[in-house]
Amino acid sequence: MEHAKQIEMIELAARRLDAEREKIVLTHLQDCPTCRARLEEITRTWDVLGAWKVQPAAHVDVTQRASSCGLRHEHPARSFIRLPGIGMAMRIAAAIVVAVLAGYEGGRRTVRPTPAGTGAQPPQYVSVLGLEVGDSFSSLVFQDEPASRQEG
Amino acid sequence: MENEVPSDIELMARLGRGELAALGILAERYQDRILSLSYRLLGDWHKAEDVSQETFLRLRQAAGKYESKAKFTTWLYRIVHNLSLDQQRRTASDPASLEALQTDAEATSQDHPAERRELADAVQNAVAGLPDRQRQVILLHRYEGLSHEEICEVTGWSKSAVESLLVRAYENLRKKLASYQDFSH
Repeated sequence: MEHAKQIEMIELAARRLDAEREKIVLTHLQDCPTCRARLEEITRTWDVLGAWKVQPAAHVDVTQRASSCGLRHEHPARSFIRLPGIGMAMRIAAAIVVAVLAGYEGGRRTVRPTPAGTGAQPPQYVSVLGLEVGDSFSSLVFQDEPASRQEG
Repeated sequence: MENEVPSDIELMARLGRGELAALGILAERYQDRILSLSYRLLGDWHKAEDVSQETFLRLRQAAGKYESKAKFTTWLYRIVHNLSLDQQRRTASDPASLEALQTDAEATSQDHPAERRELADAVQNAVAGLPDRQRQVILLHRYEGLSHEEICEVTGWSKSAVESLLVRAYENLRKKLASYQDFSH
């Protein structure tokens, strides 16, 4: 038999080689010191890699997360999702609302309506054009129209 | 039986019907594995937590349409793997990443004696120093216990590519960790 494949040696070290292949490889190993030495190296590497352990529970308390995210079984109606970016969207929306309100309030305080009967004089060009001052720009236009038709 | 443990597929079906409690059970069942894989890929617990949250969000969104074509855990690992890589790409230029990795390495092994801590740090650094695709297959194979076929499904790579990457990765690690081989006994 040829030397055992490296990938099969890895699976053997991982104890995941299927039974049929394992039997064949083990039989070969009995007569092949080269492959035995390779398997020993791979097994040692496999074992050394096991030294890197991580402890998710030490960093994240599942119960606490479940509570804070609404994942508790007794509160199924609560949404558990912590939407990434939702905080930023809320902050932007709040900033827009504040800016609009501030602008509205500032405009309201700055532009005051002219009180009726205060004797404010209309600009001269208004009388030159034969127009009368109304309450708004639209009334100016409407008052202007009959005069134009008469000229025509 | 009322006390029978519900299967993952059953829980997904229940979640699809709007039962958020099913998501809670799935979270308790898989959160550690999701966090472990994501942490090992990213080297940062906070990012791993974000990936974990996003993974459960995806589960919830997909529950209504979920069909058990592949093994549930393989499908789950694919989500975690992809989200972790997205996260990695986003922070690839972040110089704080390596610093965070080293800080967490200390935190991870602080309960162990000095020799074990040194070994754990050496392993973590050796794995972190592998080319990206080799690192991914090692994490899925050695630490998550996935078969070659499952790694293919998670990564989308061919079986021959996965096996070739595994062989090269273990060989590289053997060389890098040669001076630590005695620690394993």
